[in-house]
Amino acid sequence: MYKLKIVVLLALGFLLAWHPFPLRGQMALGQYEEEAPVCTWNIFGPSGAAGLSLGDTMFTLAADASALFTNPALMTRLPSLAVSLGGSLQSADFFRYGPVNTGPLSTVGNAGLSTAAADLAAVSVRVLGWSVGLGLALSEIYDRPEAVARSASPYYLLSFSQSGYLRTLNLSLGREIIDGLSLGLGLNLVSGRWEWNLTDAWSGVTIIDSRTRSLSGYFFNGGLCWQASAGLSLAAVFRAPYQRKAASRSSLHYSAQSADILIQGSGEDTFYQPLVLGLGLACKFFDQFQFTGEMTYWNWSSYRASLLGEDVARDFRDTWKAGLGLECLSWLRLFKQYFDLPSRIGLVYDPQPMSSPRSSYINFSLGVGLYWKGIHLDLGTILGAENGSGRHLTAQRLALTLTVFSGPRPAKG
Amino acid sequence: MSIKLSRKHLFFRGSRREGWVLSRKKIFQRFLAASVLFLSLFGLGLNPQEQETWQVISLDLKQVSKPQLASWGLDFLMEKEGRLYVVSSPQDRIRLAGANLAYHPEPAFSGRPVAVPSSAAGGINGDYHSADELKTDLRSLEAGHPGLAKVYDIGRSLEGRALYALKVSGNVGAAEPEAQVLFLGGHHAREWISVEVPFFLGKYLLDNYLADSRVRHIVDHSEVWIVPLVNPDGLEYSIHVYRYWRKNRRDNGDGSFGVDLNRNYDYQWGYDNLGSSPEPDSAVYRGRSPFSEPEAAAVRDLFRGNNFQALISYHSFSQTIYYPWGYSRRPVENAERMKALAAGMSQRIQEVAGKVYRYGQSSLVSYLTNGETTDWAFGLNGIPAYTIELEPGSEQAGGFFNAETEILSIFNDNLPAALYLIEDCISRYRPPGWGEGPSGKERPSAAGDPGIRSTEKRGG
Repeated sequence: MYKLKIVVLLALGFLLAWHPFPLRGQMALGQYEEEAPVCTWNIFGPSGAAGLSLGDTMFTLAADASALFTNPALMTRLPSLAVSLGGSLQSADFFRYGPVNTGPLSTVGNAGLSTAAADLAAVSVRVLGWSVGLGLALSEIYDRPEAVARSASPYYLLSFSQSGYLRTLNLSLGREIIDGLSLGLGLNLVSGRWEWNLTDAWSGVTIIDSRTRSLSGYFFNGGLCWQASAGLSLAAVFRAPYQRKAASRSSLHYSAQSADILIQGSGEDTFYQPLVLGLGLACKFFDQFQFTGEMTYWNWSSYRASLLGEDVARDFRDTWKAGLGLECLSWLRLFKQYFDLPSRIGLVYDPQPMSSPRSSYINFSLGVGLYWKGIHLDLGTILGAENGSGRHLTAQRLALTLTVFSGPRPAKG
Repeated sequence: MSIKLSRKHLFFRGSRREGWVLSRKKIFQRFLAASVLFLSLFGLGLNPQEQETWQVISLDLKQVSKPQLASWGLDFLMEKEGRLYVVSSPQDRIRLAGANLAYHPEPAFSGRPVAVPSSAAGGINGDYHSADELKTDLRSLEAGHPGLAKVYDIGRSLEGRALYALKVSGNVGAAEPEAQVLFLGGHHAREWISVEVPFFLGKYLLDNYLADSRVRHIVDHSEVWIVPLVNPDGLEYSIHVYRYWRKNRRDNGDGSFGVDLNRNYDYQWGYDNLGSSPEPDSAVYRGRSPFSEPEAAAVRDLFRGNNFQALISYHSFSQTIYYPWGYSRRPVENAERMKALAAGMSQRIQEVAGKVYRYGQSSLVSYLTNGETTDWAFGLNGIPAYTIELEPGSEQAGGFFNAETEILSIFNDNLPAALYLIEDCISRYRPPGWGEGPSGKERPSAAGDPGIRSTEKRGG
């Protein structure tokens, strides 16, 4: 029976991990460049609801199988089998993007975007002392609120839409090399799409500007975690710099009574993603409390974007992102069953890389878990307020993660 | 080995270092190079002095027979796709026209550019230049023609992009007493073709310096200054975000963006609210003050450092040659030469391929404009100044769009007009002190003829 359970869970995990088209979803705070992910540039890796509610800390505590995206060494702290599935609801404000509030299109106040998604599927298995992980997650979203301006007389239409996503397929390996010290390494394959459509039409004239990108690339991530004492864990992680490439096509079409002009381009876009380094700690105190703190360094000054072979200006600076979280453990007896009830709060400081305007987000997070035997259900939310752009952008994300564990948790997990 | 040789390549550079013992391969390479050089200089059996008047043309073989042309003494080059390519003298072309035989000039055989530089090709904007591609190609022209071309950084745009001026002149590093003519492009972001025409003018002058005596005379006796892109920030926005963007990228602070650089010059700036607008969200917003925009100020500063005898500012679209005034419907006075030159340019454009460019006083032929480049150049500096609105003629024919395949044909249409203006300036130019007798009474008055200016102020 036990073996059958493992087989079923593994099959379910792999099936979900190979799901080819994850739904859209990610937290959104509002950014400006066309390749900017919704919300924040500082997306280290997808994380589950537990990490989100603990101040977006994600590489020191082993809460679920999403750890393989952030610190594969944490897989050694999970039970021998862990399968996690996640979904989220999010909404975010935007102000300047594409032609919106940069010239031809203006909005009254900020524009909003809301999405829902099943955005995480990950499985971690320990075999012969090795932890192996496989996961697929929606890591970045490039959607923008659609903007349309029109008038009937004189006839005029200007509409803009942008959409896109990046998903990450991760294969990780982790092992405890000495007592309390684990290492992990992951290979990540990214792929995705990006689309841009702008239509400008008036009496007899229509201009359609269409662009697409097929994104691809790969990078390594890795880390270590060290159980320094019964109550103290330390972690260090990295994400290697890499080139995110895109097969890109553009089409600029002018049609009028006596003209049908088409300017097409195709080539390769390249986005040089920066090195990311992180340090974290987690400590337990009074048995039922746990504190986490993490800092990540983003080498954004090395970021470069090249569109169809031509460099485009991106004036970025290095950033440090910091997150703090506190977890309180309690329990509940319901239907003659005992449930663990961890509750969490957190705070995140998330500066954005643009040199001008300097912009940062302060996020407050909150969450709760409901754990019964090997089934963990975590709910987390994060509320963000931006400062620096003058637009007071806000963002919210509500995430739900279901994790099924099987097998014993390591003694020092 | 390129056929585009600079003057220093005319000598046997490097032979001493390599010694006199040459391999067969090197002998062949040098023979080939010498042959190419010979052909470029004495192509088609013509000497350089004569080549400018000879032209390769093509005729439709359905309309003409080879024996007939042979009887006229025309040199056949080749037969291709139903057309016969011949070398023609001016007399030949007159005879052909008299016989009602249509012919096409073949610029590919006449020294004109036949392909856009590869660096400009590709990208969202196709064969048009982006700001970065233009920088690359201007630097390439400078590097490929030492002594003839020099690129000056004349200022910075609001977003920090360099504004470049290409100076084309014999002995380009020296300030010589020569006629100076300025060609501007890209004031308005969406008018991509207005960047290409002045760029190709510079390229044409440089690439044909050795082979074409007319070009050589122009380059040796004038300073041709070309600022192909006055508004790089706007162009980049037009390429990457909104194709029909016109102004620069000034954040006006009220949610609107951009100042119309061609309403930001200080002559009659803000004369009324018809020729420009005080409203920041207007397409013809003139800015908070004259020369508030660094891009327009860079053109002003270039003017201050030189003494231009004429100016053309390329725009699109409408196929029209405008001259001042734009700010008022008052007919311009004391500008007979300026009017005559406009007519001459229009005529030369039409002679190329039959394209008709109207011409006239801007405010009378078109609409009112104030704070505009040519009003400023004529009003304050007294020089003939033109806005040439390039093709097409109407919005329904393409508006601010031109197909990539039209870039060179539009340039070719406009080339003779540009050369004509430069040559006119050369012919009228008198260096400082010219004609000064012992009493100084013979010195001409610059005020009486805007084409005659001193050259005391120099520099980029």
